[in-house]
Amino acid sequence: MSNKDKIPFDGLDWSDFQKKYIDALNAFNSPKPTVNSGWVNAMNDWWQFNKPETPNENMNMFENVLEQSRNFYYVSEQFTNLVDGINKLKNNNQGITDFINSKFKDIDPSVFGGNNSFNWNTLADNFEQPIELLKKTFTDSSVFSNTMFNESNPGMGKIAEQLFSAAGLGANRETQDKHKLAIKLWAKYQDNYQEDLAVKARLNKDALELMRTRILEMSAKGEDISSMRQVYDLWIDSNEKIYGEYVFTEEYSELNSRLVNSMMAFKKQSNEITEDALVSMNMPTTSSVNELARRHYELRKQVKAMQQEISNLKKELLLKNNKPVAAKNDSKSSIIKRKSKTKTNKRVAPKSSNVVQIKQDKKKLTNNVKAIKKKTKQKTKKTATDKGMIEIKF
Amino acid sequence: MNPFNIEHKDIVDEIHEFNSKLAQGFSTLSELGEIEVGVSEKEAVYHEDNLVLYHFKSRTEKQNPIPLLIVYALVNRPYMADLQDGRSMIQGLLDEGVDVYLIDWGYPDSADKFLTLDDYINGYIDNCVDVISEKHKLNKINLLGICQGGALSLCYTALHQEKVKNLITTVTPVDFHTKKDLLSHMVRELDIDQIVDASGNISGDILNATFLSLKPYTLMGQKYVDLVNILDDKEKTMNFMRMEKWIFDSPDLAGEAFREFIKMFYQQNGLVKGTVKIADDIVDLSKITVPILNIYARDDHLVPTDASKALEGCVSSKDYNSLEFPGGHIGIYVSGKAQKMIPPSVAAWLAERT
Repeated sequence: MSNKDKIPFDGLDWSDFQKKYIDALNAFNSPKPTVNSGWVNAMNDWWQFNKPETPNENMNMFENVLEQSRNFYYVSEQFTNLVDGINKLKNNNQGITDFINSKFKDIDPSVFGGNNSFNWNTLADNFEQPIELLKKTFTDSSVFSNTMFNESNPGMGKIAEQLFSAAGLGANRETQDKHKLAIKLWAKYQDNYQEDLAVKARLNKDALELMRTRILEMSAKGEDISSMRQVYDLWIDSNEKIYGEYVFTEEYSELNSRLVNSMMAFKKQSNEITEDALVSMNMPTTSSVNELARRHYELRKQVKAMQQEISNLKKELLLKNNKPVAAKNDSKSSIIKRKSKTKTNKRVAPKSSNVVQIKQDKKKLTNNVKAIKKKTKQKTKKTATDKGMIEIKF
Repeated sequence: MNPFNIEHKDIVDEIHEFNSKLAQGFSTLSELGEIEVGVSEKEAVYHEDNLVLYHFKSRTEKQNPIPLLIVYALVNRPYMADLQDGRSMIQGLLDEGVDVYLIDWGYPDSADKFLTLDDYINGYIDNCVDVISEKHKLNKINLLGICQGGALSLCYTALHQEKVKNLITTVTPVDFHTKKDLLSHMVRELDIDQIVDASGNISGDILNATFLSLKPYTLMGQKYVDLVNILDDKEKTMNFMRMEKWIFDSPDLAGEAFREFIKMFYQQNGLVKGTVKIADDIVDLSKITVPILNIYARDDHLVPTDASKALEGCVSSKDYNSLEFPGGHIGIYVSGKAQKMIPPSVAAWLAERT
């Protein structure tokens, strides 16, 4: 690797640095350091320092890894205290059970976003992605972008109530009504969103309770946990189980639908308001672009249908061009036969029959095209020759 | 009894080891460069709008004379079936002497907003089938549908049975109202008209996040902590990154096709009820009589086995076979186990019916 390509912090062994730090503290007989003495902060500092110097297409991925590593550290920190406490109790079974119960109670308040250094919602928040993405969908393009509507506003209901009570007046009455409806829809969405968050917090709490039960069961069965990774996996499994059971309930189906539907209702309304604003500025709107896209789509289908017709006609013509040869052969044989019967009209009859044949063929061809048209209903079909590498791109 | 057989020092050591792997992993990820996917040599033989039909170069002297067209889903990208050397269903099929074609739907844009299922089934798929049939001078070819592509293939076969020799469905939902179908449960009460009217095309990111939210703690959390353990191995990390690339490479869905699919398939369960309507034609699965091989995954969290197994009761094919793969929805295409099981089974089944 050239110097240019070398990563700028190649020489920095961050983990070794951390280890030395703890070893140094141990050497000075300071109070025994614990893992919750700043692993996460140290990692954050390290990353903040190095990140700007790291142009790499895989760095988003690495940020994902770091984010989840933080959760692993959080869980480890929380349970280090628990493990230390239990270890001091030796084999006092009742004491261990009581201590686990007590410690889990300490963890509980954080489920609701308390002041503990560890917030169980940190991970859960990451799992709100569908909702976050959907929110982003409309806030970026909405006239309400960067306004109070972007954030959960506890006073939203009150504001909405005040606005709803004011009657629309004057020439802008219609616009006022649209805005009022948008606010009403937003307030409805906010209610659903808050309800969803509350449910998620409840699920986090239930998962923690399941985890406690599982640990006690393991204790009773004589099974043990020998690493923080096992603790983390247990935490993940417990959350997944509780979440998995909940999402199969009718309650979830109803809440999820209410949440998404209310969001989309607001988005639709905000789109309408945005359109009004754009129309007043004589700018293109979503509706006008949609209409163009629709016409474009129809034209594209028509072009394909016509290409198919041309292709079919070409085929028929090819057949037609080949026919005289066949007809000639046929007429030859018929002439040979006729020769034996009669010599008169030997050329006229075949000619007139050929004309009739052509007329019949034309009629047949027209009928065929009609039949194809009817059958396919503008469906696009091309021959292999035509289809070979034709690119119909708009 | 103390359930924690672990001392404070052990925890510090474990975290330290984790940190070391993380730091090492940073270097590994920095050095990976571009993540390449799609290994088998192929040639584009037909283009239409955003669609490209690929023909894969054969890897055997003798081939099954009837080509196989793979119809991929409209979500995610088809290179999942040809991810990397040794983890490619297509490569496996080629090695077994199957002549493989693949539909790549591309990335639908705003001009595709009004594409319907009729356009996809009676338009794009039918055109691809015609191209292949005429190229090989055949009246019928073999079809293999992947996930939603399987549902589209079923519709196509019901409507154009005269052009299908054998049909293979893989992890294909047929009954959308089975008990364990979480995806169906999530979308059952959604106001799809409102979503499409408000959004136009449906963002691939939203679809992707919805799939991940089916098992959020595992798929968006634990997976990355697991990754730390393999970050010191460049090859394994590269494998992980290929999958990661595929997962987040999500094309948008054409709005109208999405509207039709969710309403008719997921909400109305029209495939088993016989109410799916493509253009003016009802999709009647009971009309299907061609030989069918239905492959499903035992641990599929997206398409439960019951949802796939329902196919047997819907079709009239006397020659109906099923195959259960001991793995998940994606593992059926990319796992080592799948490479040994799926392509040889498909090739043998097709050979018997050629």
